[in-house]
Amino acid sequence: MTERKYNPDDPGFLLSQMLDGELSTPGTAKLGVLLSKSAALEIDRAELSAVRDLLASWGSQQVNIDWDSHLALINASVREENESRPELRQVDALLNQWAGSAPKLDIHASVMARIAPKKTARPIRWAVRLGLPLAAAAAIAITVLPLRHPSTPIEITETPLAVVSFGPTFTASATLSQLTVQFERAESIHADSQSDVGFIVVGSPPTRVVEEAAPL
Amino acid sequence: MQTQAEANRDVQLVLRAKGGDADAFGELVRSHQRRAVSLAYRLLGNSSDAADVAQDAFVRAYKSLGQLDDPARFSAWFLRTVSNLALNFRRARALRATTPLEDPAAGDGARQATTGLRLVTDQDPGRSLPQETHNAISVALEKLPDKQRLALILFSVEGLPQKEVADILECSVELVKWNVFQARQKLREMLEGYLESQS
Repeated sequence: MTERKYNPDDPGFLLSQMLDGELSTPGTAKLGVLLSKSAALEIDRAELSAVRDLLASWGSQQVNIDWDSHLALINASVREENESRPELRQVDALLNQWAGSAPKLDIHASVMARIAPKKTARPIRWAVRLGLPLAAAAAIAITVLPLRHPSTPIEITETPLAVVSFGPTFTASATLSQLTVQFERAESIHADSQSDVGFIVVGSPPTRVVEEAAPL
Repeated sequence: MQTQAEANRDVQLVLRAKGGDADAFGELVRSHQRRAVSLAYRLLGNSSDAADVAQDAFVRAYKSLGQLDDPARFSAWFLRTVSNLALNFRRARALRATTPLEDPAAGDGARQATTGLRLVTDQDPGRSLPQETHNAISVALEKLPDKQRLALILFSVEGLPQKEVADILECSVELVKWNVFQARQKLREMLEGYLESQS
């Protein structure tokens, strides 16, 4: 059985609507003219009418069940469903309390503070990324140390891991790398002092930052 | 077809049921169970399955009442649930086995014992069909595409207005008319030998 493409002017479609009393007046007039000219269409009308009557007879066979028992079964299911609802409402109430207790944070200021250093000069950003603490006063020498557990005694090794020199190039006998840092501006630079490894800081406060990559 | 007074009553009952009033929902069941069982029966051809599907549809409707934004649309919304469940049931049944369409009057003793439902069929004596013809129509309807079968049964058998059928099927009134026409055309081809007795 092939599907017909929708066609509002299909004579059979007009017939079907006429049988249901759903055809407009112009449609009825148009169909009347078609019926008067076509015997085949008249046969179509008779057969569609027969189909409609067959279906009506088929539909007259009603099913009857014990409606009271049917209703009781449904009510029992609904009651069972309803009895679980108070618990769900309690859960909802708890969730609402939990959601309402969230602190209201204004993180705008802290975010702006964190991104602000990125707008400074790149050499300073580079120095900050390394986590260099900057001594404002005279040069401080700090032994470079490997990462230690806080409870483990700090050992001072003869061979530092790295040397950060503020000022003249520093020569160490067995360093793995050497960084020379000279800052343009004689101003304090705040940096995150937490780092996994320590640094040797040698020399006077830097005035110009120069990045030097030393081979390992 | 629902009167305006019945529709208004439904709205009040739905609103109460949404608030958890199980008794109000019980009244809705009382109002709609015959239509639900009848529709499921037309789609499944089996009164036991029809009762099961109707019960499922009511329980589902109760659980999802919160999703019904407009209480005035309860009837169409609910009948859509019945239709969908019946079609799903039918597909699952077809996958399990080929179930011949039974004569509802033969009854289902085992199911009656477990569900307590008394299955009886009534028929208007003035419109009785030979059993063979009745079965031929049932088989022919089974072969129709779902949308066409639904449109035809809801409109021509259940007598619902085309606007309500369109609401249930979530389509236009014009499409309902077209589906009804296509369904009739196909039945005409399949029931050719039975049409002469009607003329």
